[in-house]
Amino acid sequence: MTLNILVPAALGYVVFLFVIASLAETRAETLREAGRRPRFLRSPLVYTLSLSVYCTAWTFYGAVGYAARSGLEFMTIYIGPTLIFVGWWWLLRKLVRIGKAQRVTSIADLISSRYGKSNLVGVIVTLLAVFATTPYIALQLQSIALSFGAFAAESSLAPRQLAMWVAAGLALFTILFGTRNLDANEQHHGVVTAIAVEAVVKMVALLAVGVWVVWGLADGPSDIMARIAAADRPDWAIQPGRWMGLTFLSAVAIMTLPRMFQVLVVENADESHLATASWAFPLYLLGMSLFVLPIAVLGLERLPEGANPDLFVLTLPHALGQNGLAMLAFLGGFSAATSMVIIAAIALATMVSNHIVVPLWLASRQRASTGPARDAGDMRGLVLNARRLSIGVILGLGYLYFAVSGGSRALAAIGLIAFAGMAQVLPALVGALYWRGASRVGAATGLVVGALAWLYTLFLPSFGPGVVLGADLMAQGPFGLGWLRPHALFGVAGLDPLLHALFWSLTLNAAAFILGSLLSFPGPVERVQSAQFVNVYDFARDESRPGAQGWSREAAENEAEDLLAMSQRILGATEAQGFFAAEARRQGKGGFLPDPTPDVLDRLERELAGSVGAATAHAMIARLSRSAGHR
Amino acid sequence: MKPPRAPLFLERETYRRRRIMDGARILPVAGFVLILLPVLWTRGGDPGTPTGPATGTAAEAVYLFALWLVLILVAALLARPLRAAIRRDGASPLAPGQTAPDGDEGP
Repeated sequence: MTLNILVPAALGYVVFLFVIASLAETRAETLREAGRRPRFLRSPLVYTLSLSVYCTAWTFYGAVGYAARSGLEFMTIYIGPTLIFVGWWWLLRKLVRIGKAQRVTSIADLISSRYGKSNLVGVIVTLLAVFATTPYIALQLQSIALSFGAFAAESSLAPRQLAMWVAAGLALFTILFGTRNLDANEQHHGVVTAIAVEAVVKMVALLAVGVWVVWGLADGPSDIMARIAAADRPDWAIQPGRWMGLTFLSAVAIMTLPRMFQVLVVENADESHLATASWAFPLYLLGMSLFVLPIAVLGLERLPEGANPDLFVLTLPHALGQNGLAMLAFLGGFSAATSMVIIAAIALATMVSNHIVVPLWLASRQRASTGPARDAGDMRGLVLNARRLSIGVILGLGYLYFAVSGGSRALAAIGLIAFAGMAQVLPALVGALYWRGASRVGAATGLVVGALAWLYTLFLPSFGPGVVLGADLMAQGPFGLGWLRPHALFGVAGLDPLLHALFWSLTLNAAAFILGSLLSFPGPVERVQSAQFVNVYDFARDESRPGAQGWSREAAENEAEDLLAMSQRILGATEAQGFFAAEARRQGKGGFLPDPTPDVLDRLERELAGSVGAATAHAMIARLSRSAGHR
Repeated sequence: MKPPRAPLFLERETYRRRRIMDGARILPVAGFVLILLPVLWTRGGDPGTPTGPATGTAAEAVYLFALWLVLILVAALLARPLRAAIRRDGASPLAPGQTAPDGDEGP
């Protein structure tokens, strides 16, 4: 097989996805106009399948390479999420409940909303997410480049050129589907359906290769067990520290990775879907892991010494003349890589536009607010364009990381760097859910300290000595200070670099978070939000359900507060608060929160339309009131 | 005065439901402990010398996958009553001041 077949196959596959996404989008649109909810598109099955965006090219190609190098350690990456999902009643349920109650659009939004709707915190999480996701996207580009290379060694395209074209193509697809319109709930029916289809493709492909290996190449399960025992080597012994650390890390990653948060919380249609996902998603992960070790063992046995184990899924059938199977494997790997890139780019673009571009724009607009310019639709176009640009930049950064780091490292090693980066959100996230006393100052300090520690001990060294951090610095520490060596901070030299980075970044992060929270005093919005987050079950309002009760008193108050928060984002704080206070006076109420009666909503909508255009204003108000069953 | 029958029966239901929730909470903890077991096996072999695993990758793989499957099965069994609990909770929202539905109070 050559590029002449592979390129059309990949393109054809993308077109197929495009059609699926289009159909789903159209269907959702039709149903919405008819006033119904897209039942199948938002079923527990599709939800579970969309979660499989966790399994990227790292799983598809990298897990086998990981198993060939380190034995069962690859399983930690799937066992951690399994534990989180079977324990959904504890943590995920609360996360999703809060996500719905607060209409969270991203992990950065959740953290910033909890800590007094502070945009500073949102910016920190956004920057961290962009940094941490960059190597992860590079990993996907690398795997696609490698898989093309495995088929066509004589090809005229260098891996870098290929990766660049893939990055550009994916950026285009994501822009076309992720930013078609400003969905009122930040949900993407088309993309999620396409991701669910991709989940099936990669699962079928990996299982097909696995079944062929176990029953075609080997002689059934017992033969495989014997071969595994024969291939066993000292490197494969479970290392206690890494075993525990990586299980923990992957358990954290399933909640904090931007794309996982997107599909898990933002795209969730009904809390009870978690009940199905609690066993179905671990089952999916089990299916993806089941044949990894057999494929690795047979690959080591049959393929020549020095073959890249990261590509065994592909090269094993290819080398043994199973071209159809190799093609299926190629498409499976392609699915795994593309689904990750698409969702990650959408999630990051939402964060960048909501926390960086729009606030900057609002700030610049406030400064120039003397002018009469109030062109309608400005904000909407601005938001969409900001997202399109962000998607391009994010994929560009991923390509850059791939190009700079050389694209020759083990896939799993790159992915773990990303995991450790996003894990820095953990203290602030757990504090957000369970600790009333956690404050904005604490969260911001913890995040910054953790992120810096991660950058210094793991991310920057990952480019290799001499690229960003000099070889001298790596060996002797900055200015010869040995206790500041990136891989042996404060003299802790016995740990492997990943555990070392994880230990120090999370320890310093948590310490700064706790100290900062203990020593600071939260503002009023923070205190309101902390109660809303930590005691979310006491508020017992679940708007996701159709036919939910009308307005209860506290629901109305929350709603008014949400409206105010939303209006502030568009009108500016002073103007929005003035409007709300005037409305409250009109109703004869004290304070600054009126009851959100239809009259108030109408007037607010008009007010907002003056800034952002009628469509956006309507969508934004509709989003708040429709989800509460108000209209 | 004798308490009426129906509430007594309900109490039992509620009690059962709460214990199911407890089970759902303890499941990941139990899973984590059991997943760490292979670490102890390996150490039980010969910790000082890097001669190789004491139990072998094949046996560990069988254990881990079996454990994984058990966790999935238990989660699947718990899913139905828990989903019903969510629906019930959504159907009758509690007034503020009442205990949360997942509280540990009760008989």
